[in-house]
Amino acid sequence: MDLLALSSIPFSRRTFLAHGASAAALLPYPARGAEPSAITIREVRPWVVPGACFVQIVATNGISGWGECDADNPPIMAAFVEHSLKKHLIGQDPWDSERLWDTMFFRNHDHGPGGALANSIAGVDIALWDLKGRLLGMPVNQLLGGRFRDRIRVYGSFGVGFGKSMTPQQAAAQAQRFVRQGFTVVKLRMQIREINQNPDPDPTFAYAVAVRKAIGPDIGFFVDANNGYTAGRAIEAARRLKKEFDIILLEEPASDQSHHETAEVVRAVDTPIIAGEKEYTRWQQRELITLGNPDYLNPDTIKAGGLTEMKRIAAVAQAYGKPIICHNTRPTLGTAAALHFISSIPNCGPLMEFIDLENFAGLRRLMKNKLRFEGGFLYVPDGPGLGLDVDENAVRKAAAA
Amino acid sequence: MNGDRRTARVRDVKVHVFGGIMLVEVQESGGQSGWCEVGGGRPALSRQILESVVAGAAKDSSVWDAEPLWEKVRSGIEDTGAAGLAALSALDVAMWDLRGKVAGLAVHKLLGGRSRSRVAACATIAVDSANLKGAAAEASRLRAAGYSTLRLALRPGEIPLNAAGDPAVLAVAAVRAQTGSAVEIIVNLGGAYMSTRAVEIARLLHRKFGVRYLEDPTPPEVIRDLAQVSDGSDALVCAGGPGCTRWAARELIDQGKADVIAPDLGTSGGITEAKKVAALAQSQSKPLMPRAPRGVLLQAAALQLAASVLTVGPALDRTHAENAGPYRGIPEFRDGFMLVPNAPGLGVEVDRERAG
Repeated sequence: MDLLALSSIPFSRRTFLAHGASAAALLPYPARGAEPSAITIREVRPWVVPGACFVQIVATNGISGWGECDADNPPIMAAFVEHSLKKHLIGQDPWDSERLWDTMFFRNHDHGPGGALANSIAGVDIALWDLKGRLLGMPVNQLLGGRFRDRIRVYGSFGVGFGKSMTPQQAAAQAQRFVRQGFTVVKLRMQIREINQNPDPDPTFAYAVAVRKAIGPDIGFFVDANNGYTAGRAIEAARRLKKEFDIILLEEPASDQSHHETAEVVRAVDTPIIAGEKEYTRWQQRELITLGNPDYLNPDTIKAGGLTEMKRIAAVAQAYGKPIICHNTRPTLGTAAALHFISSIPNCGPLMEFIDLENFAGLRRLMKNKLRFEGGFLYVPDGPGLGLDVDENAVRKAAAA
Repeated sequence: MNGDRRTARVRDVKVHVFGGIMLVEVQESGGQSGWCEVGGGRPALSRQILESVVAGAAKDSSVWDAEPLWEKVRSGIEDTGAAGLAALSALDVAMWDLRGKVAGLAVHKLLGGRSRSRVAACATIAVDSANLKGAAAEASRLRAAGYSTLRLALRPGEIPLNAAGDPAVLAVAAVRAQTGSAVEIIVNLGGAYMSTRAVEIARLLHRKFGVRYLEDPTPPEVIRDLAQVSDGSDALVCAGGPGCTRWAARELIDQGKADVIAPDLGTSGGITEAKKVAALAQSQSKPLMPRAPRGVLLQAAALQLAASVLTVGPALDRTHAENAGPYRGIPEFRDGFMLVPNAPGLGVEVDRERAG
C-alpha cells in the first residue's frame, strides 16, 4: 500500500466527537491525517509525452491522482486541460468529481461536446478518481460500485490503415504475434472509414484470409470496418465474413453519423454488431442505442468523459439491455481506468480491447509497476487508486524530451 | 483493530421495530452499522424476505460491492414483487449509510459530490374531498412553518363530467385561497384519470391556479396515456413511484414522455438504482425527483442523492409532523429547504437507547 496514501486517510472530526472519546478506541478506521473537508485541489498539470497526454491532479495534502486523455492529439488535450478545465478545478473538493464533470462540460460546451472536450475531461476525471482512491487507500473499482470481476479476456487489436500501413502478410505476422503473447481473440481493423466508403474491390477479404490462416481456427477473430460501409455493403460483408472466416463480431460497419444504417445491418445479419467508440457522452450513446440498436456498445474510457461519464453510459446501457465491450488501445493509465470500470458494471461483455504491448515500451517505462496481462486476460489492479504508480520524474523527462 | 477499510465486510443484517418503525441494520466487520427504514406497503412481508433471503445474500459481502450485491439480491428476490423490492431498497440504503461511515464521508461524496448544499422541501397533504377546509387549514399551517412547496395528494373517487366541479380543482382552489400564489403546488392525481380528462384538468389547474407540476395523472398500468397528458398539458408531468427501476424509468421516459422522473427510493431499489435512473433521466434531459413519502432515513437518502445529481426537483419529501422515532441529527430545515448533511453516512443517526 502506498505510504503517502496511508498517511492521509481522511476522517471527520465531527464523527469523532459524535462518537465521544470513549468510543474512539473502538473505531475501526481511525484518523491518520487531515479531515477530508480540508483537502482540495492544489494543482492541475497536463503532461504531453510521446504518444499520450497524462493529467496530474495534486491535492493540498501532496497526494497526486493521475489520468489519461485521448491519445489522438496529446497537445490539443493538454491545451484543453490547461486553458478550459483547470480553472474549474483549482480549490475544489476532489470528492465533488461529478459536479466538476458537469461544470467542465457545460461551461465549455461551445467547444463541441462530442469531441476534444469529452476526450480531455476524461483525463481529468480519471485523475480525480485515482486521487479519491488514494485518499482513502482504496482501489477505484470499490468506489465505482464494487467488483463484479477481477479479470477480463482481452482481444488483440491492430490497424492496417486501409492497406497502407500493413500488407496482408504483415497483418498475419502481427496476428501471430498476438497469439504468441497469449491473446485468444484478434481484431483486424481495416480503417476503411467514410473517405474510402464501400471500397471496390474490398481489401478486407485478402486481409481476413491471411489473418485467419495465420491464427488457425481456434482463435476468435473479428473485423472492424471503421465506419467504411453503407448498410447494403455492410450486410454483404458481414455475411461473407461470417461464412468464410467465422467472425464473432463486426465493429462499426456503418458511419457513426448514420445510425439508421447501423440499425439496418443489425436487423439483417446474425453476427453481433458492436458500435459506440465515437459516442462520447450518455446522450450520444442513448441516440446510438435507440436509433442504431447495436448488440454491444464499445465506449472508450479516455474518450467518453472518463469514469464518471462511463458509469452514466453504463446505466443507460443497462436500461436498454446492452452489454459493453470497452474500446481500449492504451498501455498504462487508460487501460487501468477501463479495468476498474468493467470490474464495476453488471453489463460487461465477454471481452475488452487491448494492444501489442511491445509497441509501447516508452510509455510503460513511465510507470513504476505494470499491469498484469496473462493467458489472454488483463487483471484489475488492486492497489490504491487506479493501481498504477506513475514515475513523476520519468514523466517530466519524457515531457521535456 | 485498526482495520483496512478496503476489506470491510457485512457481518450481519438485522431487522428491528422501534415504535412502529421497521428498520434494517447492516453491521460490518469493523463494528459500524448502517440503517434504513423498510419502505413500501407490506413491511411484514418485506421483513420475512429480508430475514430469509436478503440477509443471507448480504452476509460476508464486501461493504463496497454496491452493484454486485444489488444484482445478487435482485436475483434472490425474483417473484417476490413489491415487498421484495422494498427489502432490497432498505438493504441498499443501509449499505450506503454504512459505506459513508466506513469511509468517513457523507453519502453524497461517495455518489460524486455536491451539486447543491440545500434542496427545497415538500410537505404532502392527503386531501379528503369531504373536508376541503381541513386541507386548506393544513396548507396554512405548513406555509407558516416555512414550506414553499406543497403536494396535494388526491384520491378522487368519482369524476364529475364538469371539470369546474372536479375534486382536484376544488381542492386546489381551496388551498390557493389560503396560501396565495407564492406556494408551489404539486398535484398528485393518484392515477385516477383517463388521459383526455387529465389534460383538461391539467390545463385548467395551470391556467387558473398556476399548478406547474402534475403527478401520476393516469393509471400507472397505461403508460401510453401518460404520454398524452405530457403532450397536452403545460404542467410538467412527474411519474415514477414504486418499482421505478432503470427499466421502468426507461418505459416512463420512452413511452410515457414523463417530464420529471420520480422513483420512490424505498420501493425502487434504493440509492444504487436511483443513481442509475438519474443517469438515464439525464440522457434525455429529465430532472430527477427522488421520492421518500415516509421515513427519516429514506428522506435523508433522497437528500444525499439529490445533492449529487445536476438536475433535480422541484422538491423532496419531508415528513412535517414532528419526527417521532429513534433518530438524531434530522436534516436541518430552513427557509423551506433541507440542508444537505455533511456528517459521514446519511447524516442521521439511529439512537439505540431511544429505540429501546
